[in-house]
Amino acid sequence: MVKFYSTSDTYSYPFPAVTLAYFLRYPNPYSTHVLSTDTISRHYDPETQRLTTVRLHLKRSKLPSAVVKLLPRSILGASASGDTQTYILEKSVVDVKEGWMDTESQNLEWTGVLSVVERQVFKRPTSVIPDEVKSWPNTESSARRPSFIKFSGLGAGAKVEDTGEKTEVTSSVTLHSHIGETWKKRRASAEGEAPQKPGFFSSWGASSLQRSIEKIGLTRTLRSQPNAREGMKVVLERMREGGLVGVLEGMRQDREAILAGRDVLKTRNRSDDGE
Amino acid sequence: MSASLAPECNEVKERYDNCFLKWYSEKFIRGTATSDECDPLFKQYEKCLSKALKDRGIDKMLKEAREDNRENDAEHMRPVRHTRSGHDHMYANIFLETVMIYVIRLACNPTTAYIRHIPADLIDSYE
Repeated sequence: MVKFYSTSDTYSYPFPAVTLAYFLRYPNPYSTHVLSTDTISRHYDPETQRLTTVRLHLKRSKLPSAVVKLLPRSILGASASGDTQTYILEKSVVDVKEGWMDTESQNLEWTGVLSVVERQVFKRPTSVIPDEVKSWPNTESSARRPSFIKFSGLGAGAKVEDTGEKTEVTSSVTLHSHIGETWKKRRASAEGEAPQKPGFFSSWGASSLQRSIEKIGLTRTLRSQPNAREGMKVVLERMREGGLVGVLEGMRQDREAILAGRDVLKTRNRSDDGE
Repeated sequence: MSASLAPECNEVKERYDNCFLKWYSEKFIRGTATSDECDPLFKQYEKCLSKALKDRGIDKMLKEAREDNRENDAEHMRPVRHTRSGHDHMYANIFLETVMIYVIRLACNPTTAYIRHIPADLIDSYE
């Protein structure tokens, strides 16, 4: 009872720039629903040169009206109108030596209704790694590789060098509805309480409900994927044009616009037209 | 920079984020980092944030999420039992799903379309 969606893509930016853009992807003009991003834990292992990060994002979301109709009011509670906020937990590991970044994001609430696990793996294409680098485990390969982000700190001169290097990305989404299973557990633990809607919990009802919810979830995921990709591309573009300062300035403007409730995309297009 | 979920932590978060970005772009991705230099700033940010998470009850939710993950991992590795209780519903559902896909396939095939009427007790027998 799991829906799975997988896709791969290539960014025309070097691997280090893409990993940085991943950490800096919110806010962007395509992510006005992301209210906050916090780093919960971060660990750097000097031996493996791996960086492990756990972040918590808060997103504003609207339950699809189809889901609202499917669910009993007792489950929806205060979100009966469909407006809700969702915490997303994101874990990432960057291995700069081997040239990969593995990320996994999942929703923290509503997991009984629908759990969505999104995984993205970014890779420096193996073909561009010379053989002598591959066979030398202790080499500082990435540091010596010619194409690199030339950041001079946070100074205005920081730019991403365009060397034509690319980064491969594979994304997959696993959707799993546990609806009905949770209710059964809850019902078993709170015996004596009358069930809200008797008969609704029958296995057939639950499993077809699970399928419907997963299907709706998948449709939404497919719809949101292009926006997530566009968001990353905006951040990467800003990095190429204005370096880190360019990204931070863009973020500042997006954040202001989000706070003011303006449509960032429209504002952005207008300013693009004016240039 | 992105906002913190706790406005009172925005200032200390921004100081940490700036430090991190500098370290990440100048040292980490060049493979020259020997330690996480921003850790002292992270500790300050963490102190503010963990209080905010606790006040909002999010710390509990995070803990539960991690426990759930462990539980699910253990569940997937468990062999299928043949008694009818608890998590067996999950296996029954997976089995039912497989059967249903098969039946639907048959039903869509013009030569076997007579199966289109799915007997109700086929479904009930797995509950």
